[in-house]
Amino acid sequence: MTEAYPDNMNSTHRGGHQLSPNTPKSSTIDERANELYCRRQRQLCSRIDRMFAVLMVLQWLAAMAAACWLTPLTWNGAASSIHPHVWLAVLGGGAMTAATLLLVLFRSGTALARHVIAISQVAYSALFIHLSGGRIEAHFHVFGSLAFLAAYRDWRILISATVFVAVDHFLRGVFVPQSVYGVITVEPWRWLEHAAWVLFEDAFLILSIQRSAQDTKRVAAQTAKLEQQNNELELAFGKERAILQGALDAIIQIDKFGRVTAWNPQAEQVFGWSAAEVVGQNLADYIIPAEFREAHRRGLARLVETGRGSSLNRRLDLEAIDRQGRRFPVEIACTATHQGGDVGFCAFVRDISARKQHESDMQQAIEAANAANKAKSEFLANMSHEIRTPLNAILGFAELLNADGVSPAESRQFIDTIQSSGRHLLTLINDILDLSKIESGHLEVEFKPCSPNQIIEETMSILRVRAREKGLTLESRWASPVPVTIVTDPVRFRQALMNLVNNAIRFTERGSVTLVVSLAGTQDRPQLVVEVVDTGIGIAANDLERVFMPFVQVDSSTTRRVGGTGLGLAISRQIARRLGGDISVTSVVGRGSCFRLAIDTGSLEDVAMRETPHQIPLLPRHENSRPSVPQIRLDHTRILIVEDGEVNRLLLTFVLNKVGALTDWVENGKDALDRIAQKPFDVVLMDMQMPVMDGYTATRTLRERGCKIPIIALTAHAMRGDELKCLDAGCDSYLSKPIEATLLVQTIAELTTARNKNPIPTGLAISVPLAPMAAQS
Amino acid sequence: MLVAIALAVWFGTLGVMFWNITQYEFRTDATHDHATPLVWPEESPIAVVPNRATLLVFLHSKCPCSAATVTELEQLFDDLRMCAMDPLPLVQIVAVVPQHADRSWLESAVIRRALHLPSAQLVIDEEGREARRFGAEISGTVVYFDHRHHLQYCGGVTGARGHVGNNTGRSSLFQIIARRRSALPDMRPALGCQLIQTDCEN
Repeated sequence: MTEAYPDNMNSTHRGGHQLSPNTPKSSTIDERANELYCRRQRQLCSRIDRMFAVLMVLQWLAAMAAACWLTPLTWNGAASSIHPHVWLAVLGGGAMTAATLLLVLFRSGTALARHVIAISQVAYSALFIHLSGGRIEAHFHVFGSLAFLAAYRDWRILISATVFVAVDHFLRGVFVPQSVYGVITVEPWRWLEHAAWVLFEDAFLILSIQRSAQDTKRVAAQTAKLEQQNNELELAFGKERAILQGALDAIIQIDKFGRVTAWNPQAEQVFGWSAAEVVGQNLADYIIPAEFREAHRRGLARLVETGRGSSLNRRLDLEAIDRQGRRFPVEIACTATHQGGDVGFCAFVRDISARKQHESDMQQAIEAANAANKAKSEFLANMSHEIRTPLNAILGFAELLNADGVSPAESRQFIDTIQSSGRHLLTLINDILDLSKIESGHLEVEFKPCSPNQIIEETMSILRVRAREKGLTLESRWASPVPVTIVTDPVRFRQALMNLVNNAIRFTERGSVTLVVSLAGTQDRPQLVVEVVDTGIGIAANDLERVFMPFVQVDSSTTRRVGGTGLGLAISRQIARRLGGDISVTSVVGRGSCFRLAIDTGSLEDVAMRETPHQIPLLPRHENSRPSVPQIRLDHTRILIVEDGEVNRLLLTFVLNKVGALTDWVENGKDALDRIAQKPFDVVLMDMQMPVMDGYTATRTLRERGCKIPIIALTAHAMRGDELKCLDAGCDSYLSKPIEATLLVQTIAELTTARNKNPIPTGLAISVPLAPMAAQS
Repeated sequence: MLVAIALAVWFGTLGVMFWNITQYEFRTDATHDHATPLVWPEESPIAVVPNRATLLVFLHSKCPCSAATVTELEQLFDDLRMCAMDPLPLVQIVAVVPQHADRSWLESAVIRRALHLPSAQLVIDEEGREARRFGAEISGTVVYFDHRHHLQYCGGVTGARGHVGNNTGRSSLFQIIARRRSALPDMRPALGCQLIQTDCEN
């Protein structure tokens, strides 16, 4: 028996029909409609199966009740036994009911179940006819049964039932007509008459079944179409949802009243409101700053009314607020949407706080870079000027010296000018080096106990001459007791102080420069404060901080007039900070400035305090003495000059010969090793950067060979650390270029004096390396 | 295949049951041990009326099948009235009951209903003495004596056990009573319970 309705429930359409986009829609809808129809029929059949299961049980009970009521017993005189009708009701009804129940349980919805149920149902008709004693009314059970069976909406089972009824009537009519027709003799066509009445009912039932089936198919077709539309809508909604959920921007939809209809996760993140809190609420109340809400409402009303607005379909930078009331910049793009005739709006909102901040930072960076470039350009221009100015003097006066007709007095004046210009150049280079150290973070300080009084007095003593030359008064006073000693880097402290006082003198035309010294800070962190107060030109308020910036000069013209590199204050402030303090400035333009230098003093426990400054006997100054030729003699001192620069060699040779030294020279470290192996020397002047073999290697080699001759490193590398590097290589002393003749002679004298006190036998230092040197050569 | 076998078994079971019940409904259990007297026996205590036919209806008080006999007799008397039959036969309802039977035997539904037949009178026949006298063994046996008290009919008036409906028994009886025709050869046997207990089962 074939299945009338194929089971498609296990196909891919379970739980929702998925339409392939490549499948032609019409055929897909037809297939789906057929599938829905079959499924509905199966569901219907299963439901009717269950109904008949119940009906069968009820009929069985009714049959047994009727049999027990009408014909419970059959009698043999006074004796009785169970009437066969009761057995028929129990067993016959049981067989029909059991078959139905089994099929409903195990084959529900199948054609087999339906047909067996149909036959059982009309068999019940026969049973009731028997039980009722052939009452004609019992035949109505047949018609009722067929009507019930029509509920299956399957005309085939009506045929099964009708065939059963016809055969039953035919057989009974032939053999026992009384049992079905109530008469003993009947016409041969009597069964046909009965069957015809059944068929008459069948005809109506089949018609109604067909009509019902058509309706069902129509509904299935409509359902299939709706499903397809739903799928398409779901697809569209799915895409929309995916866009909404995954968008990097906040996406907000509002209706024409300004109420939120969609609010994606990014919107939750940006504004801090969850979708549950905001959807259905007025957007303006949540994310628009109060002062813009009315304008927003007016604009929305105009948009809804006219469909036009300046905010549609363009990007706008606005301000929004979040849940915490934080205002932040947003970029918004708004577009109109239409749903069911109602207009709505969709806004894509992006928090551009970071971008704005970045833009601001970029702008500041650009401005800073431009300013730095400008400052550096100015600085370079100034440096160029600063360098060219002394160079011009040096070259010019050197040329004049070389000319004929120069008197000795003029020559001395020219030489003084050349020397002064050279020193200025040296200061300039030193400042640049200091700045380089500061910028690279390598400014090193060495803390040790020192006397602030001595440093201040020395500084004043050095600069007093210059102040006097300008007609200025340079003095100091103590505003409070000052410790006798403090722990700081005296060299750097002096450098910073020198810069400040030098600046004050430089920018002051008349009046005075006063140093006011005091002890400030806290008990735990006392600080020594030196205020350098001048009566100079002063600094405008908005330039007060700029004067501390590297490469920045308040007024280049002034700087050119008064001199200086423009780096002093920047260097001094960094030094002060490294010493635990700072430099600040107050100033009134035209009345003067006050630079306040503060540095940590270290612990002042058990440190004596002094109420007034103490005059320090000053060392003799070289600057004002004629530095031409050193007074120390180096008679018969054998000096090897290792220098690749010819000019330097000549200078050194000249200076040293002037003080009685015997000099020899080589051009590189390798030649030096050879020369030392050949001749005895008392001192070696070693340039550290040379071709073939540099001074470090040569010195290290000499020391490895046991050579004890004092070696003085000469290098143009003036950075801190270079000295240490030279000493590590084995040098006994270090002098940076340009070499001061006096210092050079003095250093040689000190080394040779020390050596003479502890003489080294000549040749001992080189006895060891001779063999390997010879082997190498 | 299994389903086909099960279906065949199922159909067979139904067929056998319906066949057996049909057989039962058309089976008569009369042994004909006692012949029906051709003339009213004078020794019978059952009253007769001179020149008036008598219809004896032997009923087992609790036989469910006999309700159909009463139904057919009601139809018969309706038919006789339609023919303006007058006088109608005297109807004697002979209720065959066991000895010392209780009231339930005498007031059974079938007896009460039978007594509604025209001029019906109840005769209590303990142990079936009258039934034996008139050769009635099966409940529903109708014996008709004409006005001369000659036997005209003895048999059933239903086509099958407990079945109502036109049947040759009732038709014959109608012909005999209404047309005063002599007894017809095709008297139908009565189909019902045994009035008098026999050894064999129904």
